[in-house]
Amino acid sequence: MSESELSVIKPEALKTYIWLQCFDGSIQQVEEEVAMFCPMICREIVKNGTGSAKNHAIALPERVNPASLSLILDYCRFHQVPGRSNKERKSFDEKFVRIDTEKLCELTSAADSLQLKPLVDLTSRALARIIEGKTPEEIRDIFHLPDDLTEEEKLEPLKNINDDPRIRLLNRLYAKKRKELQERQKLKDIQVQQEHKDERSLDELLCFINGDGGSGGGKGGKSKKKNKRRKDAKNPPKADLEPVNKGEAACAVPCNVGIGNIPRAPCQTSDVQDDNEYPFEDGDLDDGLDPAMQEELDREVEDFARRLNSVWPERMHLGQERRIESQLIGGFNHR
Amino acid sequence: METAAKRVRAGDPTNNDRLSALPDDLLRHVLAFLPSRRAVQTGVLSKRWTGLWRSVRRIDIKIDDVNSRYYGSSYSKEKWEKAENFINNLLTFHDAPTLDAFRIVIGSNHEDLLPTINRWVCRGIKYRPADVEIGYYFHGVYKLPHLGSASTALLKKLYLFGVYLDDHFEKQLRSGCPVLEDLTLQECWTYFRDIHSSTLRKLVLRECYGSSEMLVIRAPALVSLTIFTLYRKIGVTLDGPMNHLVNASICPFDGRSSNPSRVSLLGSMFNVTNLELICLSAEVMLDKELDKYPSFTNLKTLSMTSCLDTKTFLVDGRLGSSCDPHEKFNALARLLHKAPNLERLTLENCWVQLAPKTEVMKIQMMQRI
Repeated sequence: MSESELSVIKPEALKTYIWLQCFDGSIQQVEEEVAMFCPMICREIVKNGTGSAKNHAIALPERVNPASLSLILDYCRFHQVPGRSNKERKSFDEKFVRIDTEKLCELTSAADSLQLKPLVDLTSRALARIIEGKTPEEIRDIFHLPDDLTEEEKLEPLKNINDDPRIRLLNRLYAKKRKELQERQKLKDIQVQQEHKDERSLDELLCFINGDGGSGGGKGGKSKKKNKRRKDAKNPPKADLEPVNKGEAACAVPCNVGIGNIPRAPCQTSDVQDDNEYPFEDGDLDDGLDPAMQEELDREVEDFARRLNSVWPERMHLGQERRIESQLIGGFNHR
Repeated sequence: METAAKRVRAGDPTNNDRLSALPDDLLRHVLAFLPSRRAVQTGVLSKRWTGLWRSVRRIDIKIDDVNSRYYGSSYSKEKWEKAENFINNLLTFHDAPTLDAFRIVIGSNHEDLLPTINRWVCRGIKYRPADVEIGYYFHGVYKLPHLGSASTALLKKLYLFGVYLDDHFEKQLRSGCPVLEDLTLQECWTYFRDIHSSTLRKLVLRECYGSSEMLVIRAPALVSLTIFTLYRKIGVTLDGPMNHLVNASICPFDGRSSNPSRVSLLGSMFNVTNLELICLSAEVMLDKELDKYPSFTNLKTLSMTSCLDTKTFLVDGRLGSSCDPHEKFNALARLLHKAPNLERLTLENCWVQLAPKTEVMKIQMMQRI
C-alpha cells in the first residue's frame, strides 16, 4: 500500500477493539481504551492476553448481563476521557443512575463483580437514597424482598444475638444482680430458685461474701470488691444499692458469729472452688476481649448496672426471669 | 400478570428478590451510606437483613431537635431518652471489626448528658476509624475527651464543630495521628498554641474562638489551607517552609490582632497557585514588611473579596481614610507587583461596585503605577 493510502486508513484500522463475552454467550466489542478503564478487564488483557480476537473473548463474571454491560461501557466511555470537568462528570453521574430499580440493582451487582469502584459507589449511593425515608413495607415492595420474619422477630430485632461477648457479660451482670437479691431473700427466709450456673449452697455464698470482706480469695474476690466499690462510688443517690451492701455486711456478721456450725476451714477450701465457679468475671473475660475493650465494657456494664436499679422490672423481658422477677420485686419492695 | 405479582408478594426468594444477586458485603456498602438509624431499621426487612446492619463499617449518629444552632431547644426528655437508648444499643450490638467512618452530631443537650456523649465518642473512636466527624451544635461547650493514641492511629480525616480543644488536642495531633491528612475545625474553641503535623495536607480553620496566644501552624506537607474569620484574640502564623501549598484562602479579619501577623500570613503564601483573600485591608498590602517575603511566582489565580478597605480599624488614633481610591490602587499594585505570573484576578466588593476582572485589569493597574 502506498503511504497516502495507509495514512487514510490509519485512524480506524489501528484502533484496537476488545471482545467481551457475557455469561449467556453474547459477545460485545468495545474500544480498548474504554475497556481498560475497568480494572478487571484491564488485568485480563495485560496478564492473560485475552480479548484481542472474537474467539478469544474475555469471559465476564456471571453477574454481568448484557444490558448492564452496555451501561457500564457507557460509563467507562464517558469517564475515561481525561479532559472533562468535575461538574460535567457529576451531572453525567446523576443522570446515569436515573434508571428503574431493577436495572439499578443489576448494574450495582455487575459493577461490583467487575470491581469498578467508582461505579459501585455511585450505584450504592443511589440505592441508599432509594431506601432512605421509606417504610419497611415500601422497601420490600420496591425490591421484592420476601416478608419472612415473624411478627415477634420484627418487634425485637436485636434479640437473636446471644453469642455476642457483650451479651454474655450483660447476662452475667443480671445473674449477679439476681444473686444479690436472692441472698437478701434468703436472709428473710423466702424461698429462692437457683439460677443456671450457680449451684452452691447458701453457706458457700455467705462464706464467700464473708471471705470477700476478709481474706478475699484470689481474683474473684478482688473483682467483686472492685465492682462493689465502683457501684458504691457511682450510685450514692440510688437507695437501692445501699441496702444491698448493708445486707451483705449484715450477713457477714452472722457468718462469723451466729451460724456456729460453719467453721472457717470449709471456707478456706471452698475458696478454690469459688475462684473457679463464681468469679467468672475475670475468668471468662479472658476469652478474646482485649484490655481496652474490657475497660470500655466495664464502663458500659456500670451504666447498665445503674439502669438495672432504676428500671429493673422493664429490663427483664427474657422469659425465664419473669418468675423470679415477681418474687424479687415483692422482696424489693419490702424496703 | 396478577398471579406473578402474587407470587412475588408471597415471598419467592430465589427468583424475584432484586437484591438477591448482591453479596452481603455490597449490601453493607449500601447501608454505609445511610444514617445509622435507617440502617438499623433495615433489620426488619427480611431474614437476610436482620443482622446486616451490625457489621456496617460506618456509624452515623445524630441527635437533633433543632435545625439551626442558636434556636436552642429545650431538649425533650423522652426524645433524648429514646435517642440515648437507641445509641446505646447500637454501639453495644455493633460488631464490625473496624470502622471506616464515625460521625456523631449532637443538636440538643443537657448538662447531665455530657458524660454519655463522651462515652459514645470514646466508643466510636475505639474502633479506630479513618474518618471522624464530631459536631456539637448546641449552646455551651463540649470538651473533646482524651483520645488514646491507639485509637487515632488510622485517623485520616477529622472534622470538629463546636468542640472545646486544649493542649491535649495539640499533643494528640503532633504525636498521636501519624496519617492525618485532613483537619477541619469549625467554630471550635482553640485553646492551644500550635498545630503541628508532618502529614497534614488540608487544613481548614473557620470561625474559631481562641486564646490570647498566637496560633502557629507547622505543617510542611500542607497543600490546601483555609483560614476564615478567626475570632481569636491573636491571629495565626505559619511556621516553616510550605513548599507544597497550592490553594489558600485567608480571611484574617480581626480588629484586635496586630498587623504584623497578618502581613506575615500574607507573605507566607508565596508558593501558592490559587489564592483567595477576604477582608484583607490595604494597610496589610502597603506594609513595608511584605517586601521581605519572596515574590509570588506561582500565583496564577487571585481573588479578592471585600479587600482593600482602609477603614476597618484605627490608625494612630484616628480612623483610616474611608475610601481613598489612591490607597487602594497603591495596595493592589503592590500586590500585583509581587505576582508577576498572575493570570486571573477577580475583585469583588473592593470598590463600591462589584467588578470581576481579568488580566486586562491587571495590565491597566500596572500601567498606572
